[in-house]
Amino acid sequence: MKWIEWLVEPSLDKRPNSAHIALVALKQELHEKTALLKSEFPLSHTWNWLKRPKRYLPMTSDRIRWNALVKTTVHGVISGGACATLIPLLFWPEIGFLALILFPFGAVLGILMGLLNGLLIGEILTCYHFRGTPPRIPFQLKMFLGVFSINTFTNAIFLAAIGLPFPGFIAASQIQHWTANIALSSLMGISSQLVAKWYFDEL
Amino acid sequence: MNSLMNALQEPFRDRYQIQQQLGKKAGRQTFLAIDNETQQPVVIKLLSFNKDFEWDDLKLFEREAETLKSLNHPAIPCYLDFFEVDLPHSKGVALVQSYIPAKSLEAQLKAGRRFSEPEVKQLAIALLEILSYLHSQQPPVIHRDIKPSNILLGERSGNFVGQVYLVDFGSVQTLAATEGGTITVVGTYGYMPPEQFGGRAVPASDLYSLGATLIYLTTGKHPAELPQINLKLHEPKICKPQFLVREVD
Repeated sequence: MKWIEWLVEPSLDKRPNSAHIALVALKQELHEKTALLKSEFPLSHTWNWLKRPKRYLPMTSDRIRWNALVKTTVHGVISGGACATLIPLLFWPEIGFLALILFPFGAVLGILMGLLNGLLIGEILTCYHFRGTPPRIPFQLKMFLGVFSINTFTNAIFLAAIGLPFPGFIAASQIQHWTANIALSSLMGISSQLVAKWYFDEL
Repeated sequence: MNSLMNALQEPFRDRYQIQQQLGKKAGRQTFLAIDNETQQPVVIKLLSFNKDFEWDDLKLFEREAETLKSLNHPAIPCYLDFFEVDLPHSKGVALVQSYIPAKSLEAQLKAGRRFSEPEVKQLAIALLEILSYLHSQQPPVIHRDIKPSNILLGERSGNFVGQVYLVDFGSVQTLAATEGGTITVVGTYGYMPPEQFGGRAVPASDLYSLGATLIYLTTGKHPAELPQINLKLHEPKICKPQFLVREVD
């Protein structure tokens, strides 16, 4: 807190002139939230982030957007690949391990999904972070935002991956389609809770 | 001392019944008492003209009474009464003020309470609002002895750190008082800004003491124990990484 240092300046010329000025500056600091928040670690350190001591760095809107983008893209690649692998398995279980061939295709679609999701999450977080609202967002709202955004994109990718190449497929198998969709959404729901927590830990 | 306590068994002015001693400094004692007229607890500060007595003490004591009388703020004790008393071996004067049922920051820190960054900011805002009020008086009132033992903090509730009070106006200076006459150097080592050692206190001097108090709250270390570089207090780096201090040169 640079602000406290300002108060204990030995030289009168460098200290705030009045309590009012100091008060305005402190409130301004709280408002602008140049305040120090837990920063994220680079992606390459994802696996040992638990072991590393928490660092504190100023949170900027660029940093929030970048973190959101990187995380959602990684998540998109994994979930897109999983979608492309698991959905055919649901309908044609006999293909077995061959379904893994589809993983890269799903992963490529997942990159797109992740990027779009990251842009959205980045904007939501930036909005919350710099609008001066109290940093404590209700837990339910966090979860809702996380689950909602991820599921929307998961469903979009599901429709794009299955619906576009085989337009007749979805129409022909309504029940199977929705069963698969709900099953996947639930699966994604669990992972999205983790991801949502990951995002919002920053606030 | 026993004779004094015995003398205090009788209510002052047939009105204030002493309950217990709250504090003691050279020549000055503070008591908790009950006002028999209102049945409210009050604080009585007693200055006795004993052998340690100095005229500066009376000057500051009267100034404290005058200052409290002129102030009206929910976070500052209310002036209630001021009178002379006859003590067993000397005379004295007593100042009666409202009692605030809250513990000092000093006591709470010693009891092991620690303050988070948001709590320190809440405290800072509350204290700055009180100081802003004091400094906006005509002439400005400078407390000159802001430190954890002179700040009372009420019960915490939820995210609210508690109601903050500023007490002990026994070192107070009004800017008018420095225009002529002798200079009285008061304050507490560690919390005093450099200019106050020379007897020159200005409203910004209270800000320095507030800053030193906040550093104490965040680090748990008395300001006099902290490293100083070019007279500037430095928070030790190990305590809280977010409070890292830029090294001077």
